[in-house]
Amino acid sequence: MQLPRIVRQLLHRRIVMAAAVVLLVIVVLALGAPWLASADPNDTAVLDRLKGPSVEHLMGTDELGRDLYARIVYGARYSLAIAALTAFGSVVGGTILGLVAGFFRRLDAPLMRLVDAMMSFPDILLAIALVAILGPSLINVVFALVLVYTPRVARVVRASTLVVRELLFVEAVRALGVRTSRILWRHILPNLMSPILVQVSFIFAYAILAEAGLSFLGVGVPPEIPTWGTMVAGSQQYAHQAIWVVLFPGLAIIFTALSLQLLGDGVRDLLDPKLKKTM
Amino acid sequence: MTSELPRLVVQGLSTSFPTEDGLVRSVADVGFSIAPGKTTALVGESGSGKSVTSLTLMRLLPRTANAQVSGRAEFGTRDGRRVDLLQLPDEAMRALRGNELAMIFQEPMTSLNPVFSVGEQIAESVRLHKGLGRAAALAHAKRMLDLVEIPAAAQRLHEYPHQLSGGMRQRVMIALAMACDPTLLIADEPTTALDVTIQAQILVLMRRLQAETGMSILFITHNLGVVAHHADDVVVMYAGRVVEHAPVRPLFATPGHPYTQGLLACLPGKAHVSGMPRPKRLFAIRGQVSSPLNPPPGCAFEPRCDQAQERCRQAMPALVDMTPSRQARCVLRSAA
Repeated sequence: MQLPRIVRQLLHRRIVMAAAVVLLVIVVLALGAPWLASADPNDTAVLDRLKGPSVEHLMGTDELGRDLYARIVYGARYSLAIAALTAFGSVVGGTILGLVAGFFRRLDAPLMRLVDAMMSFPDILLAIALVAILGPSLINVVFALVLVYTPRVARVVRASTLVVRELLFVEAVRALGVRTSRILWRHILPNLMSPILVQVSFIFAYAILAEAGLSFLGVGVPPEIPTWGTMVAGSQQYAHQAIWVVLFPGLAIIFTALSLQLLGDGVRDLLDPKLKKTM
Repeated sequence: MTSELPRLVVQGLSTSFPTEDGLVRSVADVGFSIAPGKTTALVGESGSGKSVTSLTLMRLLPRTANAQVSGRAEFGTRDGRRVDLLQLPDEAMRALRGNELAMIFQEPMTSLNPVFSVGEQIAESVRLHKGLGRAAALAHAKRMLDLVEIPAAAQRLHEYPHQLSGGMRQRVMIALAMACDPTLLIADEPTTALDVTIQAQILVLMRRLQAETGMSILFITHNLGVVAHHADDVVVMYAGRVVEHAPVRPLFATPGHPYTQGLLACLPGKAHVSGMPRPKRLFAIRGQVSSPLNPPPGCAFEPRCDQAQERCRQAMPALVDMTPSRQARCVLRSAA
């Protein structure tokens, strides 16, 4: 069905705006957790276990009687922090790798074969293996996820570098006597910002899912740290008695990841000059 | 400018590229010189080695091309030294580039970095070579935009390349090249991508700047009309070699090499060589440039030449003096 262009643009824009609002709410909840959470996320009350949503416990309680809303709000802190660190780490690593591989042709083949080798493992499997070797801790999960997503960024950045390095202005600045390191840093890198920004938002979303997956499989962050993944993992066997114990953390994961993806799409459209009108 | 020595003397310049099909000699034994404040035009059709010559001189050939370069390119620096551009260490070469040696490219649409304002790009060059601070460099950039006659320079300074037209961008490129007051400007077909009225403006601008600064220009073009108006000396290249080297007036009056004669005859409206009747149809040199992988044994132009003789097929003719100031690579001239 072909809607008028204007309607489609508006619709598109609304979705992106909605995604941004959802993310904003989650970030505010995470930052304001001590004030916005009604209870301590680790206070157990065995008598109140597996209670449904009520005024006292907005999202009910889990199998140890912990307030789910408080845990989700505090969990947002950890889940978002892990995702943010992963996105940051893999974008920095991947950008350097991709820039070097794309610009210095001699390094291209060895670096890209390394990247291919890493990408040939399924994401989650590689992360599980790394965490299993390193031991489950917050830092190790981030480290494993960075290693998993760095090659992805490296590929995208390399591809864009290959395009930009052939543009005549690179030769022109060289003709002005600009040294290679400065050409890379000052002239090529800024031209890669739009693909890099899009990667940031996507990896942020992937990392939230991957952290949840790792925690669910028991190789993520230690269970005492409330992340959305550990919440689903810890309570899964009670899901058939009290659906809310997995429903709410699951929804938090879905909404965050979905919003990030949509925002990433929006950012890409905005930064692509040919599609600029869409926003 | 007090010295009588030419600013640039190129001797025996050869550039070859190894390819899978063998060594390609893009530039072979090219020699010319450019006097201070003068313009030497390098003329030839596509693939004749003009651009490779300029890139070799600037040492901008891509490293992955593994170019094999030989010859000398003696350049007189501002402080009176004579340096060989082809032998200079990378660091010293970089200090010259953009500073004493500047280059303008053919394609103004892509020669500017799209993510920086034009002011920042001009400022970068002066900050790099003159060590100016940010504010001083931007002020200098504004003066440069004024110099290249860009209206509302103060405002244009903060605009991005995509906001400028092709002609404006080429002016910015010239401002960028002129920012450090170079003594030699290499202009690689600077007007080819522009429409004719803009071409004329850019050429007039370049000539004015040359008169004001006394810089030398190596003007690379295939446009003989431009050459006639703007060059002092002309070097005609064919298949990587110089086939004729002459001051501009004698060259146009009595072209010495059959290829130059052919080029002049190709000009619409001016299509008559002295002594020949004005042809009704547009003249075209028959045939195509010979493959650089499989050059003819004799003169490279011989397969296309109407005046070819048996001895043209035997060996490459030498560049012979027609008068003390002009040379042509043709057996017909050596007989004279």
